[in-house]
Amino acid sequence: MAVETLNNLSFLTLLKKFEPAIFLYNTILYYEGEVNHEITKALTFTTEKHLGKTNAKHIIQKKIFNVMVECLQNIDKYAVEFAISENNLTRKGAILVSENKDAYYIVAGNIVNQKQIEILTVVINNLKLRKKEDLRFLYKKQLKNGMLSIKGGAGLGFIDIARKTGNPLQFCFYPLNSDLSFFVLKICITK
Amino acid sequence: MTETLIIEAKEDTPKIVFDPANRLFQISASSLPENAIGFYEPVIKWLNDYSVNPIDLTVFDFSFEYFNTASAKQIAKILLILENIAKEHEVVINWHYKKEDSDMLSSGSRFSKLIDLNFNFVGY
Repeated sequence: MAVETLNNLSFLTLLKKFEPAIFLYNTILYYEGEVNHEITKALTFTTEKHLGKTNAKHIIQKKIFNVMVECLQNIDKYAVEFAISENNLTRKGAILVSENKDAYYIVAGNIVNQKQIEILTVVINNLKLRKKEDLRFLYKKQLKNGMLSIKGGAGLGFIDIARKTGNPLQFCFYPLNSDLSFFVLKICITK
Repeated sequence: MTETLIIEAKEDTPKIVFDPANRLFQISASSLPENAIGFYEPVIKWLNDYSVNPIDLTVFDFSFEYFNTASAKQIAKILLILENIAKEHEVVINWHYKKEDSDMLSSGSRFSKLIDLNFNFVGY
């Protein structure tokens, strides 16, 4: 599968095939398509507004908003680019927000290359093993590193998600071809 | 004295008021800019200029509703400049947070441990 043909790929089909369990809960929002700053604002502010009308606690609403921003900005910055026409590249992603009686769930999906798989695996696995105290330390360390270099502090978004949700991040890579995979990140926010 | 810097808030960028003549140094509202480095560049430049000849007491008010991690790095840069000013002048940080928002309180508390400055935590 070449990158040029990936824009015909349905992320919803992939999610239904590989992660059927994520569709068991009540869907609050599902989006699939180009992810840019305007889309990120539209999706996060719409969800925030919706949750504001529900009985969700203020702090939980903010955690959901927070996780959505970090997930969508990661896609906006790092997902493998698609050619939508000869001269136009775009980044595509999927995001699902759902709930059941115990928790809210946020699932994000996008295409990554082999190099990114290696980096993401190390970064996220590193987080999985850590306790809350360690995450604080790691966040501080990343923040200090981030201060020193312009692009430094990669992974701060994941640390922030892990720290604020208090639940381990779950992730999977589903290979599409020799270089590209579908990356799925699952986050649970307990009510 | 350094000229006043005022940037009005947008839905994704914070309000900035730096007004030494009136002793106001405030950053408020939400921060999730498309380009955090780009947005904060003039803010950081202003503070660097100000740090050459600051007023005797700089009381700096942060009242964020929300900020993303890209902004957190820029906020850390701002605090580092203030830390530098505090070596020879007085600097106080007021970190405002909504009482029900314990995440915003712990974000401020993390910054306070990262940087050697006097922090007041103000719940509202």
